[in-house]
Amino acid sequence: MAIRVGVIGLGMGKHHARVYSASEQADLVALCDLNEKLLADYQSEFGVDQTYTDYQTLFSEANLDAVSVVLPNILHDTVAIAALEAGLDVLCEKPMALNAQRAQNMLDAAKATGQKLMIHFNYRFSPPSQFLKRYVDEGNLGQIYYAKTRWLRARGIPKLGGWFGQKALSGGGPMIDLGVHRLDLALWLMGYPKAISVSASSYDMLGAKIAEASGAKYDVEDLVSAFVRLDNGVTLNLEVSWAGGTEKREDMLTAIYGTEGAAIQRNRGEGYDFEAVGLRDVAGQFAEISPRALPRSVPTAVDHFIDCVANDCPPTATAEQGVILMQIIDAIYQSAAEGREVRLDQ
Amino acid sequence: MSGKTLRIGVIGTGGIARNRHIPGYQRLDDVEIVALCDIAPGLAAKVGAEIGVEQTFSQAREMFDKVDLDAVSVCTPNVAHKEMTLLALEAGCHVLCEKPIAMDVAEGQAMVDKAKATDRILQIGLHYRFTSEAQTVKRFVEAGELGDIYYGESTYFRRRGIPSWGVFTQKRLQGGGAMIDIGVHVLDHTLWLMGNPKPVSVFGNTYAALGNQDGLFSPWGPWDTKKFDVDDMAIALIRFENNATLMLRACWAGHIEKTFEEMRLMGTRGGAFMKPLGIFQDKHGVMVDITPKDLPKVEPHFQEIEHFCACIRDEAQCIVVPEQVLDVQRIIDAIYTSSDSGHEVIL
Repeated sequence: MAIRVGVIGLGMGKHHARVYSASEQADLVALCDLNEKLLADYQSEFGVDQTYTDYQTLFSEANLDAVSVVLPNILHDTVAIAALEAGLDVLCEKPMALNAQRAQNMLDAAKATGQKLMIHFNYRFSPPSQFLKRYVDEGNLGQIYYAKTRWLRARGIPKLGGWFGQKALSGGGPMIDLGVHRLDLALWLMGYPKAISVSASSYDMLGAKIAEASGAKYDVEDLVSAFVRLDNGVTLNLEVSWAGGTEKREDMLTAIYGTEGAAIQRNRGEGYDFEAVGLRDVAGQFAEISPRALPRSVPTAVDHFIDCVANDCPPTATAEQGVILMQIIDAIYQSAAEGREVRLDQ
Repeated sequence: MSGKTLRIGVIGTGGIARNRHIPGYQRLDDVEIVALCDIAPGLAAKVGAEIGVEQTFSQAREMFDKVDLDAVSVCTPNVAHKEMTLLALEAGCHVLCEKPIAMDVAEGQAMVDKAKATDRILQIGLHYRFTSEAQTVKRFVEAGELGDIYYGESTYFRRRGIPSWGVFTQKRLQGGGAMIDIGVHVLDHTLWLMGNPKPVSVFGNTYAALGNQDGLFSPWGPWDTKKFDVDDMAIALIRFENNATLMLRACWAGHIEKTFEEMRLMGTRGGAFMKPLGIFQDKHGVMVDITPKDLPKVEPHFQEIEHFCACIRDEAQCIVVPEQVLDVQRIIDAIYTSSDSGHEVIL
């Protein structure tokens, strides 16, 4: 029997809606957004019965099994907790919340209600990432000790003037918007170690100037550089920006290095086409191992969520992992503000 | 014998000797070229003057009588490989003899038998085995990464590459053309990588399609089109005892877009291609291409000479196994027979 799902937030939410719509295991029965025009457009595009401008009404009337929460970061915790308490399973967009405490509240609510809470770490659910996870899990890296992860843009501030650039609404700039994906990918490949300490810098040199030139509201960072010591002995170098630090339009790389080999996921050229390669000795010869062909698609994060809800199994992108990530992000911002290392193990 | 200076003679001081063998020995420590021999009057003396070797001869027998040698390189036309090699082995020398081993398998067998009887090393100059690529693929094969190899395909096609120096185009002196000049390398290193299965049948055809034509462009200078009486192209399909098949193609000159060299192996667990070198398998749930990184840059001719000297010193086991070379010659003989008869030759 198909599960009944709804989507709250029709910005990025339309991508969630598309997957629900196409899935045989799910029935997209309701959409929710403040913007009535968006509601009308997508209602007809997806053939959805019910539309709402208020999420509490959605929860009480639509009789859903699960919901996607795809709203500005400031609303993640409030809406997700309300959904969990209304008896729904929740797929919440990243970052989990504005900070670790608010994320913890969501995790606590999930535990208390017994509902599922999955974070939309969709970069895990791509053919290159799935290949690489398998490669790492097979033990091809030996003992992992060094990692790099980055998402940099030469000039790519999203929707200047919107909520992305306002700390009270977003929780931060590129670190919390883009960096969270690459940081999650790195941690996930390594089995989600926790951070012991973080030392970071953040800058808003370019963003502030660009925003001022167009009179836009902007009070977040545009570039972060961080050095993270993890509890598995690994050192992680993290670089994130949406203006500066690279010459490319999109510059993404996540690389994990071990005693016997390395695993690398990166974008090709300057866009969103990704590749994954392994590096290790084969027959005594140092070699690069690259997939000639990957499956054209793998189940998306949303497909995975549907599967977990329909079959009552725990999602692999967990709320616990979401909280660990927020703790690191909090520490990065704190370290950058204080100009010194922040320890998380005390 | 290690530590002692190896005393080397070179028989035949033409191109391959001057460009490869002599410089190769000169680069090695504890190796000294002490004698040169060439049937062309005065040539050995001329080369000797250039490289500082005083003992030069025009008769190999005289050289062996007068000079105490540990080993020789035989770099003469093919027709003299057997005679020079037997002389050298009887004189107690180890022999590095250029390819092909001889004019036919019977001659080759005589050389191999004599080497066994005199307990001397007979290494044939099949330097393709010493390339970085071949050495790497061999390691992959021996590690089992390709599984059982059932298909090989090996090609060296030149658009225009008929050698205009030496005696390459004269059947009386060489016994063949493209097949025994470049075909032998293509055949030997592929066969070696396939594990030297025993050949059971050969279907081949050879051509002299461009060699006798006047007025063709040649970047290597003109060759004598009237005297050209060898093959300029050879192709063959060889079947082995283990049901593997090898497709072989060698061509000095043909109307193709451009010169290329390719080798493909297909095995039950993996395949290989060169060059550039790639290994292909299924791993981690997908099809993967394995690309070796930082292959050492080697000079195969130098590697084979270094290997020869190490074998003489008992520091290495010769990787160019004489019985394997005889199988190569058996195949070459059969290709010519098949070409002449129009039929498959059963070995």
